[in-house]
Amino acid sequence: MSVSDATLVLKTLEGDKAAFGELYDRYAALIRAICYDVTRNVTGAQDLGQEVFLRAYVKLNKLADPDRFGPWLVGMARNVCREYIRGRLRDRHVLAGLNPAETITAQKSDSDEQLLDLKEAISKLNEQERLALHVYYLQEQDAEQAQKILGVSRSGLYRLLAKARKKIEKYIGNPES
Amino acid sequence: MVQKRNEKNMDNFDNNLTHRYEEFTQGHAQFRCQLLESLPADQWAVEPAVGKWPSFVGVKLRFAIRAAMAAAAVFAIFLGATSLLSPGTEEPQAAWATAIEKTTQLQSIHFIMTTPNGGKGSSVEMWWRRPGSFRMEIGGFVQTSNGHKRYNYNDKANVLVVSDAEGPGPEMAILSELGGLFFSEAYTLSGDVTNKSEVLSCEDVIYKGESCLKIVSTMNGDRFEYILDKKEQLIYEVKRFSGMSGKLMSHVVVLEADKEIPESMFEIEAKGGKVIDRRLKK
Repeated sequence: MSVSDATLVLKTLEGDKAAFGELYDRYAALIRAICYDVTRNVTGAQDLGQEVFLRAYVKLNKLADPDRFGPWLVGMARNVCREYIRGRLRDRHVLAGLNPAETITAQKSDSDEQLLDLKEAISKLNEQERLALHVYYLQEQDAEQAQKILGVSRSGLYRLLAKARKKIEKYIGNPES
Repeated sequence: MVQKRNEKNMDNFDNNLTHRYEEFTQGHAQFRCQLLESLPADQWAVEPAVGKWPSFVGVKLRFAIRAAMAAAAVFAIFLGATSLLSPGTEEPQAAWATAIEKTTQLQSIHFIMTTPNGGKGSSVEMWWRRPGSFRMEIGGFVQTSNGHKRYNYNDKANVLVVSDAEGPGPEMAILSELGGLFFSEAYTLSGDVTNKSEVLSCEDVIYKGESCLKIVSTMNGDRFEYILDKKEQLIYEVKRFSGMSGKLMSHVVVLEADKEIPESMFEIEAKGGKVIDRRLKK
């Protein structure tokens, strides 16, 4: 039986960094996936993910309910992502001022067509549906854990997953839609 | 040919998703080591220095974006209140929940949000239409999206930057607190608003000669005041006050709701070296 998140949080607060490492093992991939939704590149997502965990560590003593570490961390990731979006907005503003080009079109870098289709399809989902997919597929398809992080009922979770799947299927079937 | 490929994709749906998510586990051990080594020794005495605005960011834009973020929470509630039922028929909290559900029916909205900010405030005017079209005007900076392309236009520099509208865009700087509201997903809204807001009071008031409702609620520690037209169930204005200082943080005035917004509002063209924004008549 694995140690609960709450126990690991309390151990971390007592100075046990290895306990925080275990929390990192449980959630790092999920956090990177959430960050990827805004960075659209893996390297950026990895950097943002590290930022999320650093911030979480520093603020861990402010977590009111240690058993809710997962949802709390996801919320923190979303905040970091918002800051990233603001930064991206700022960078574009600066770019526009420096570059006299009339129009700049963003380029795609992925080459794997099938994977690219899937990435595109996932990006078309709304935030909650994407999060449901991330949690479900990165938490070993543990519905209970996914419910906890998303704050939805079991039926709500499966509804989200079904909607996500339907949208992905539709998109892959007709990418222009 | 394309059909065959698509069928194959669907057959491997779960495998593909699993494969897709493997990307996020790559390099995990190395990142783990780096993280654990970088954890501060005196961990809970140190505050992270992130999210600061670099000095080169325009002051006006900074205020505008901050104001936009502040307004997000306001809008989460005022949109919910657009269809708030008259008090007396339901408990305020129940009416609130009903309003949240009805919010998902809203198709478009046009509003102006201002932030006093000690006399240094600014205003943002925004038009939004389902599923992902928007236009924000912040000083001389215009951002729009028609759902497919995103346009960032610097009016003064006369520079237009166009990119694909992929994933969350700059509009999320305003709307992010709304969760899935602007993607027409009611449950997301319920999660972000219903569970966090509490109606404190609901009373009849006369506002500019009209019979209205004044609703006061709290969310995330801040206080919100709404003025609603009783008959039309339309929002006149929303104010947000800081839970810490009690100061007015933002003031929203709704100009239109569920009115048709022309497509030209969400697109900016560039022809013959000139940027053509129909809204700005250039």
